Amino acid sequence: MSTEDRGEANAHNWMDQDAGPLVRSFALTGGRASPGSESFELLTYVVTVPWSSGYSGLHLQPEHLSILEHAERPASVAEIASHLSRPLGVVRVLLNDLQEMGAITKYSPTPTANRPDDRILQAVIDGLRAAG
Amino acid sequence: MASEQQARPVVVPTTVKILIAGGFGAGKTTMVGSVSEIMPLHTEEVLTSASMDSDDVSGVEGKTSTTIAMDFGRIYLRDDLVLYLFGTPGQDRFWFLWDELALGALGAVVLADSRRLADCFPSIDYFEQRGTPFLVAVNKFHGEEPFGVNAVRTALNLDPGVPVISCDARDSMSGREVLISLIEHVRSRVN
Repeated sequence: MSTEDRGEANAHNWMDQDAGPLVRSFALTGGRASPGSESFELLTYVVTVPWSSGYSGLHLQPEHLSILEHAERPASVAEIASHLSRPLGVVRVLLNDLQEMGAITKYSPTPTANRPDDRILQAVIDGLRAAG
Repeated sequence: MASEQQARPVVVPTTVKILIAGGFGAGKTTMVGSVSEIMPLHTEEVLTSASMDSDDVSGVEGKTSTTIAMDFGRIYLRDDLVLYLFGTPGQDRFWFLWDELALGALGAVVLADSRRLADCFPSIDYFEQRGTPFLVAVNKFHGEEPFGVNAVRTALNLDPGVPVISCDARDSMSGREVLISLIEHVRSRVN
C-alpha cells in the first residue's frame, strides 16, 4: 500500500499493517463477529470431546482443528486465543461453532470472585512462595 | 488397557485472576513476564459495529476495527490451581476492555512510576468505583526510588486501607511478593 493511499481518508485508517491478520481472521469466521459468543469468558475452560463420540468434522477449518488439538487437555479461552494468535472475538466464534456441533465441553470459571475461599487464597500464597 | 477408552474425569483447575494495571510504561509487561510465562493476547476494538446479525454483511465495509495486544501470564500453582495475570491496556480509548478483564478478578496491582504518578489515577479511580481490591506498587526504575511510599500515598490521596509498597518489576521474587501482598490485602477485606 502506498503512503498516498494511507493518508487519503480516515475511513481507511484501519488498513495498516495491523489489519492483515484481522481481515483474515474474520474471513475465517465467514464475517461473523460475535454471535452467541458471550458465554466464553477469558477463563472459561474448554475440553475437546473425543472423536469417537461421533460428531462430524467435515466442515472444520484448520483453526477449529487447532483448537480441538490444544483443548485435549482443559484449556482456557485466553490460552487458546493466544495459541492461535487470533483475536478473542474470532476465537469465540470458532468455539461457538465447536460447541454447537458437540466437539467441546465448556466449563465456566469457578465463581470464587467476590468472596474467595480462604483456603484457595492460602494455596495461592503458598504456591507463589514455592515458585521460582 | 480397555479402561483407557473410558472417558477419564476431566479436572478443570480453579483459576484466580489478578489484573496488572498502571500507566503506559509503568512496567506492566515487565512484571507479568518476570513472574510467569508470558503470552500475548489479541483482542479487537470494534469502533463501529455494523450489524450483529451474522448473515448481514452489508455495512461491513464501514466497520473499522483494530486489534489490541495485551499480555497475560499464567502460573501453575498446583495441578488444580492456576493464577492468571492480565495486563490492562494502558490507553484510555481501550477502557471498554477493562470491564471484561475485571469481571471475576480477585484484585489488581496498580503499578506506579513515581516520576509520573498521575498516570495511575485512572486505574485507581476505576478500581475504587468498582470496589475491586487493589494495592499500589511503586516500581523502582533502575534501583532508584525518588519518592518514598508515604509520599506516594499522600500524592495519590489513597484510602488508608490501600497498601502502598515498592517493588522492582524486573525481579521475579519482588513481583511475587507484590502478588502475595495483594492476596493478603484481599483476605483482610474478606474476613
